[in-house]
Amino acid sequence: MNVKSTHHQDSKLLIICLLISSAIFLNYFFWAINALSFLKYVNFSILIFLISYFLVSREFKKYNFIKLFFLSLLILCLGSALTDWDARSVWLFHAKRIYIDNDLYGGFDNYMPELMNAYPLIAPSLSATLAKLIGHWNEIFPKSTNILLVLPAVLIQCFFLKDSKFKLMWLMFILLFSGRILINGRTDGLVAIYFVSCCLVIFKLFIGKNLNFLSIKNKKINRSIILVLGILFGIILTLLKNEGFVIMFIIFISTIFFKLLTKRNFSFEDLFFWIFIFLPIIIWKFMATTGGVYPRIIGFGIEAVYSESLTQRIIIRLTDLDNYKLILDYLILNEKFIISLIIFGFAFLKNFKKNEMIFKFVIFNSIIYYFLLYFIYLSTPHDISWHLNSSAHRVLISIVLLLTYFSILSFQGKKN
Amino acid sequence: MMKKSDLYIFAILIIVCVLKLVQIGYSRINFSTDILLNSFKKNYGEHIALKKDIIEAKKLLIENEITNFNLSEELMSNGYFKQRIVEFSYPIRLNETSKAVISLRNKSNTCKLKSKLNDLKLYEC
Repeated sequence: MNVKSTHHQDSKLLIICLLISSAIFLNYFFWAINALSFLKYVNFSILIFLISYFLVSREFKKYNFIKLFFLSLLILCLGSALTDWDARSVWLFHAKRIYIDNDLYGGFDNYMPELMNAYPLIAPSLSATLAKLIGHWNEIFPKSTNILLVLPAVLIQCFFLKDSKFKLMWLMFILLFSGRILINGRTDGLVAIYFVSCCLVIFKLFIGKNLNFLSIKNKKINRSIILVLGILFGIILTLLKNEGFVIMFIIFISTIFFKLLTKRNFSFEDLFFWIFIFLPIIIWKFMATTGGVYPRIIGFGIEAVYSESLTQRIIIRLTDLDNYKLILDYLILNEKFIISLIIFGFAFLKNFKKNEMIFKFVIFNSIIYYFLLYFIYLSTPHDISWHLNSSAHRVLISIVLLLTYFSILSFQGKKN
Repeated sequence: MMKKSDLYIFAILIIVCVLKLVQIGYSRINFSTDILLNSFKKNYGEHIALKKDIIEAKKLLIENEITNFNLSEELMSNGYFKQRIVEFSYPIRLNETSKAVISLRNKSNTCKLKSKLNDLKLYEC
């Protein structure tokens, strides 16, 4: 394969990735503005057409592994029933509500508040549109739209991994670390995948020295595509789950920090980039809170195990030695976390010099998110043991995938 | 032409991916070709995803054209039953002031019996 054809494939991949992400966002947007059903159906059909085009087109031969990866996940998803607790009670229940009520904001009536009515609903809205197109609901197919959401984020990750070995290695690690949570209807796997993609795109756009992965001729056009992709990925991440919003905020803070550190200028482009990313989630949160629907994890509306205030809860838990053991078990002695740390440590020792900035960026984001997890668990209004047991292994996947991806990326020849 | 060492690496990576997919399919999510082939059929998968009593409870509600319902004390305290019936029976809603009450068949109730199935009864209180 010659260089020209490779660049052509890359540019086309960027465009298809952009179009798929746009269709995913537009689906949410049409629900959010209560647009005509016809528009939602046309948009969803375009999404399916784009994905099918990617799968069958010979122009993307270089990405055959991703096609197989995507199809395998889709087959597994369509060949298994929806049994997972959170997937049923939170995500697919809200998808069913959108489908039946024909309204994205149906949950604001606060029916069953324990089922997290304040969560943003980009993933359920996609399931609801598919159910509308099919014409009925069942316990199998609605969750499969999560796999459609995975595709653009994984495409952009593989786009930046030039070597096929590395592409396949990354797909293998996604399967090893987060295979099941991508299939079972939860959104934690999606959050982790989008965390990686957002860090990657934002680093390349605002912190990395240059976009040296592109052909000179198309450099300007491709940068614009990646800029819009960054906005779309950011929007999707913030609308996936509250954790996504927090993660995006961490990336925002770290981007400002690193721009200051590298003495980069701030432009209107930066301003609009972040405004576009945060606008949809701010509108969602505003509508939820004005409707009296609050995020329960902070403690609203929960019959708390601890009746004390947030700071009192933290202090009480910090003074109890048993909590340290619990945290050690769940947030440190997690086998996937340890493996990713070993991989990252190895990559760090081998490649730190040629990828100094990217390592610093990843470490900064990981550490802030990791310590935020400690804060969340120490301040939880639930029983800390129950909370850690039910969610720590899922939320750690975001850090696990982030460390692993950037370790693989660092082994590529060029300086970042 | 691919180097021999690369070929080995590819082979190992592909084998690991395939093994992992098989492991996820058969031991983590109970993949079944039957489910795959029927994945777009109306209401398919209820009997796989839910326990018999949940399906029975929804049947009681639909047969009696109930729009909202309440649960007896013992069913209300059963977290699994409550959560599942809420999401499975939607748009029929759980409402603690509803006159239609679902109860276990072997528990006595002073309300008027409307309907019964193998494990559950529907009362009007």
